[in-house]
Amino acid sequence: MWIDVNASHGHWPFDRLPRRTLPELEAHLVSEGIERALVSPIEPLFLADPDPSNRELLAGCRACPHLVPVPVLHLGMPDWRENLEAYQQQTDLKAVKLYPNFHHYPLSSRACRDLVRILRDTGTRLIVNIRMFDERNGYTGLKIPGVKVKHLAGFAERHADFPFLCTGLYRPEILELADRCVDFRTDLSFADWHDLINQLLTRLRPEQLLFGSHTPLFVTRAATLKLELAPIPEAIRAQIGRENARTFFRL
Amino acid sequence: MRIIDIHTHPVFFGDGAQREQVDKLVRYARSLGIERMVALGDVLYHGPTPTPEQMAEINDTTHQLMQWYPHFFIGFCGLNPLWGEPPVRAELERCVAHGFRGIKLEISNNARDRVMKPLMKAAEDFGVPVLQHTWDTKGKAMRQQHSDSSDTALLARRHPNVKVIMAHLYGIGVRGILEAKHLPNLYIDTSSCLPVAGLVECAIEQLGDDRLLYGSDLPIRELGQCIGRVSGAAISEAAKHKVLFQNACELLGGI
Ligand SMILES: [Zn+2]
Repeated sequence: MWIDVNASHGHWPFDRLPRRTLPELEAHLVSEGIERALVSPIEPLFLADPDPSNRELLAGCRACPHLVPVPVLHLGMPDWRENLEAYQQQTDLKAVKLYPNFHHYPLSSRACRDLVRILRDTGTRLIVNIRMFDERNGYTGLKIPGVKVKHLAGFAERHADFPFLCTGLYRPEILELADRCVDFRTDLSFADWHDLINQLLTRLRPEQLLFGSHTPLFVTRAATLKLELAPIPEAIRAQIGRENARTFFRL
Repeated sequence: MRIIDIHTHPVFFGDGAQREQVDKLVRYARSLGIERMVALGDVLYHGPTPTPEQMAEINDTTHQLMQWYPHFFIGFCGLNPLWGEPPVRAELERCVAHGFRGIKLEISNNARDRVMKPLMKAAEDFGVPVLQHTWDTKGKAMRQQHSDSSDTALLARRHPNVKVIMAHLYGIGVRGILEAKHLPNLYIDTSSCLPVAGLVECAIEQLGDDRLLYGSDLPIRELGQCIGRVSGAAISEAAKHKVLFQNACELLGGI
């Protein structure tokens, strides 16, 4: 059974995707062999204020033991600190997620620096989402490029002893970032190539790779089979599929 | 789970041509249930418009794979429609004599160009399918070489006696599926791109379950991921079997 570090809940309006309630999402993931999933709401990508969606998610996940809620912070809004504090008080918060390309703030902003300081003090992890869709063939009306590797590298340089997880990096971006930054983690949802994991492991440490499915935008089983059928030692499979997430997010 | 992969490039920019690499790939693919791979060649090795000599060299690499594993690799030969009729026919004839069972067209020209006519006539005469690289290129400059789904659909409409495979379900999207809807000689392969949910379901709903073919685009894609897009889709088990195996088996005239 795997731990999925990149799942979402809600309606993505640009593809005809399965619509699931939180319990339905949980049942689906469990049926695909996922024992726990870090889930963020989709709605805040398109709204100024992510707080109502985050609250709904936190409340809903109480009845779904396999789901770990990961609220979305919009660092361009004035009240993200209060929101974060409230989430931390309400629940044993494991992580928060940023969508800098949807919310239009740079990773070099003062708010980012403040966030890192707070997360470091409280032990909450940071997930930076790079992209939600493949820019080469997403819906034509939606033009949102992925977060640039140079900005991630700059962020990593400014916060050298602060490990963070990227979700949605392409394989060439993972390799480029590996050249410039030693302590990032990445999921594998957008990374692809024959014998991908062995190839990445020539440049990255096993603890840097985590299983992420990008459900419901991607077919969940495409992610599980990418891991399950990869020609890698079982210990590495368990590490990428489960143990790294367990350690990193203290699950 | 029985699988035929209709879209692979086992040799890719020179890589994968060594016997040990091929042995390893075949062993691995067979462990996943893949019984046959259609090898399309290292089609861009000499750029988008290879000469007859350059293409013959690429096709010979595919032929080598077929000789090493005659019960695993099925060759489709690369051709460049811009050569004109005699060289196109000559290379096709040479390849068919070597056991090739289809044609792969890349980005020498657009599938709607008139220059396609002699090539399609040759495909019809030799009774081989044509797999056409296709992408959503409507309104983009690249369309001159990269056929849009409407271009590949037009090719199939003009040549109803040739079976045409439109490559890259995830690159052509819902519009590509709808372009193919009323053309019984037009197939779509599931190769390339990322596994966006709902597209396999949409294709089955619009086309029925006879005209969708499993493909990976190896080595650009991981095989497990590509299999999972189909096996994890919300379609019947019977439809999965047709997409993963049966449809390609029938298109290829048995394996
Ligand atoms: Zn290809």
